[in-house]
Amino acid sequence: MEVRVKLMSLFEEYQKGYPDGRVTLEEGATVLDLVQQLGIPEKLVRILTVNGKQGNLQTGLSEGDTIFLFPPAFGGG
Amino acid sequence: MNQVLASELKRVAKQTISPNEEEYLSLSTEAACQIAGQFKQSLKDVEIEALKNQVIPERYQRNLGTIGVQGQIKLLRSRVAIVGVGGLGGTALELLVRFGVGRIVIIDGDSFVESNLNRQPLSESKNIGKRKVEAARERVGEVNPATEIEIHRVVANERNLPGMIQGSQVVVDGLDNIPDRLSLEKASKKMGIPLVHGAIAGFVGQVTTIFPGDPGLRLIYGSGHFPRSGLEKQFGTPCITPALIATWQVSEVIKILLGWENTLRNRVLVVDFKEQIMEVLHID
Repeated sequence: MEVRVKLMSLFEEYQKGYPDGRVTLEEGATVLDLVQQLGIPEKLVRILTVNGKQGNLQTGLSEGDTIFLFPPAFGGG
Repeated sequence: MNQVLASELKRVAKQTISPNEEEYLSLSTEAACQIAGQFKQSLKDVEIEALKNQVIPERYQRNLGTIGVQGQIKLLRSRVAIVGVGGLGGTALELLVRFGVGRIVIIDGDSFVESNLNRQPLSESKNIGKRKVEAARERVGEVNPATEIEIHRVVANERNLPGMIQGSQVVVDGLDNIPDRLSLEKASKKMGIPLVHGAIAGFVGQVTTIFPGDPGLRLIYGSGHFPRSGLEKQFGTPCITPALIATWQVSEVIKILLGWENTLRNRVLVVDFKEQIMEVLHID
């Protein structure tokens, strides 16, 4: 199945292999599978949505889903 | 005494017409300062007394359409603690002082270095090396002498924070790393004070409001060990991100002080200038 992923700019290096945001996953894949396929460290993914609704790493994905992954910002100063 | 003060305030105030063509009695800062000296009262108390008597300190006139006279009195009677007065906290300070928050506790152990100049509003070419809390004190005095400040020139930690934030109604996170933020969250919860968190990295930032008893930062950062420096070192700290995030933090502070609903409690605002993203997400 194919899903679309949209990343914040802090994660853009992980989108390099997927310039149009389309990622092919096996049926029954979860957000965690997507994160691993993109190569993003799991601990950096705390806030995400699937089709606009709050999700988590265990959320199951379906064909055509749109996933936003938001990295936490750390700095200030 | 208060009646004498009230009639003196009315005597020195000037009949003025507001932008929406309503007449009001306007009090200049200069006149308020004179009365404060004459009646041996703080400028803040004189301004509160003026507002209670339908005399409008001119410096707040443009606030009133938004927050009202009672709201302005509430702000003047409020106390807010800002922990860190760099890019986030320095901007938050400027805005809170202009809003007319009556008392601000400023906590920062650092001095300015040249690399602060790209984003920290209290830093200037001529004050490199100066203590940030000293620059903050001067700035507050220049912008709004009615705002009373309490400065702590120390590096905040879990032990010294509770005593410094005690008595504040809201705490503003102006810190620059996760371990210190977790200490601040712990101290704020211990003292029963809501914390307005903000953080940035590159063109990305976030804001959330954490009340005592809320899960708070662990929903954003997870649990476990975090290094003191993170992604922001790689992505930089350009001025637009802390300016926006701090502005949103101040909006949260004002809403909490005024008792308004619809804060970012249990929600996080995420912003990405580069990708043109601004979203409010539920976190629970």
